[in-house]
Amino acid sequence: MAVNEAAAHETHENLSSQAHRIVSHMIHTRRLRGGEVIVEAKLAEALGISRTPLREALQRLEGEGLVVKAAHRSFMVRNVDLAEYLQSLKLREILEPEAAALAIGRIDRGRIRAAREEIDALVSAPVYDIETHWRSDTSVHELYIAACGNAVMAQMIRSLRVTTRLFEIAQLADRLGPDSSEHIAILDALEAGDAKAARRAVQTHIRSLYRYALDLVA
Amino acid sequence: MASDRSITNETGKLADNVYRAVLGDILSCRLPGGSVIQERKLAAALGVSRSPMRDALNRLEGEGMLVRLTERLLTVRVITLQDYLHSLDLRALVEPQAAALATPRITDEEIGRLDTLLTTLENTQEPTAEQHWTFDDALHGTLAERSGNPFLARTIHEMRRYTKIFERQTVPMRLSAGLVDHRKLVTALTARDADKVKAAMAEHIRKVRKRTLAGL
Repeated sequence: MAVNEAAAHETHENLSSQAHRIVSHMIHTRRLRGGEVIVEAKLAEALGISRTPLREALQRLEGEGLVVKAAHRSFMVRNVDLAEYLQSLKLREILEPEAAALAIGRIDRGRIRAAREEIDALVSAPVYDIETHWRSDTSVHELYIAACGNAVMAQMIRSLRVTTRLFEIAQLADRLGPDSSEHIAILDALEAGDAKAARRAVQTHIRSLYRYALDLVA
Repeated sequence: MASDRSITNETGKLADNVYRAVLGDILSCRLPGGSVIQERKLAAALGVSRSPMRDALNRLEGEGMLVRLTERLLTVRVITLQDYLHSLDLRALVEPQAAALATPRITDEEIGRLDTLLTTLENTQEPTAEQHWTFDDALHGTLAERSGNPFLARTIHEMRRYTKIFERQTVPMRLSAGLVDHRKLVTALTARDADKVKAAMAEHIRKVRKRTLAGL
C-alpha cells in the first residue's frame, strides 16, 4: 500500500506546518492586518500550496487566537481593540510577576546575558527594526515564562501575549525607550536572584504598558 | 470572546456543534486521556461528514486538548498529576480575584439559582457525579463570567477543563466534601461581601488540592 500514500500525507503535513509558520509571520509583521479577511485562494496561490494545508494552518491559528472565523467559512485576522488589550494586560499583571518569582534560580545566566546584548543591539541600531524589537521582547519575557516551572501557566501567558501583541503591533516603535529600560530592570532582578525585585520589575513593566495604552486614547 | 462572535453560516455552526460534542466527550472522560482519535469513526458516530470533524479536531488540537503524537496519530491529552497541580495553582492565583470582581456584578437571580441547586444537592442522599459537576460548573462558571474580564473567564474555564478531567478520572467520588466550601461561597455572595467571597474561594481551592492529593 501505502508508501506513496504515507509519503503524500507527510508532505501534506509539512506544507500545513509551513503555511502555519508563514501566515503567523505575516500577521506579526502586519502584512496581514487585524480585521483583514483572508482570501484563501489568493493566499494559497501566493504561498504556492493547495488550499487544504492552508486551511488546516488557519484552523490551528484560530486555536492560537491569531485569526477568527468570518462569514462563509473564511477567516479574518483577529482585531484586538483597546478594551480587550487592557483586559488581557490585567491578567498578565496577575500571572507574570508570579512567573518571574517562580523562575528565580532556574534561569541560565548565559541567556540573561544574551537578552541584555539583544537590548543593546536594539537601542543602538541606526535603523529601528520591528522584528528585532519583537525578538528582544520575547527573549526577555521567555526567560521567566519558560523557567517558571508551571507549564500551564507558561502556556496561558504565551496565549495572552498573542493577544497583547496583536494590539501593540501598531505603535511598537514608540515603546522602544520604556521597553528597554523596563526590560533591563527585569534582567537585573533575575540576575540578582531576587524574587521580590523580579516580581516588582515585571509588575512595573506591565503597568507601564497599561498606562501607555490609556494615554494613547486620552 | 471574539472567536465566538462571528460564526455566521451553517457550516461554521455544524463544525461548532461537532467541536462541542467532542469536547464534551473529553471532559466527561467518555474519551479518556490517551485515546486515539479515529476521525472516521467519530464522524460516523455523530452523523457528520469528515470536513466539520476535521475543523473541530484541528481546533481542539490548537487548544491543547488533543495532542499529535506522530503525523497521523492524534490522541486525547493525558492530564498528569503535574498538569493538574499546575492548573490548580493557576486557579488559586486567578479565581479568588475573579470571584471578588464578580461579587457586585452577579445578579440576584443567579445567586438564587445557585442557592437552589446547592440546596438540592445538600438534601440529596447520594448525589450523582453529574449533579455534582452541574452545580460546580454553574458556580465557578457564573463567577468567572461575572468577573467582567473575558480573559480571566477564559483562563478559569480552561484550567477547570484540566482539573475536572483529572478529578473525574482519578478521585474516588466523595462529592459531599465540597458542599461546605460551596455553601460558604454562596452565603458570602448572598451577603455581597467581596472579601469573604475571595477568602472562601481561596480556601475552597486549597482544600480541593488537599482532598485530591489525599485521595490518590
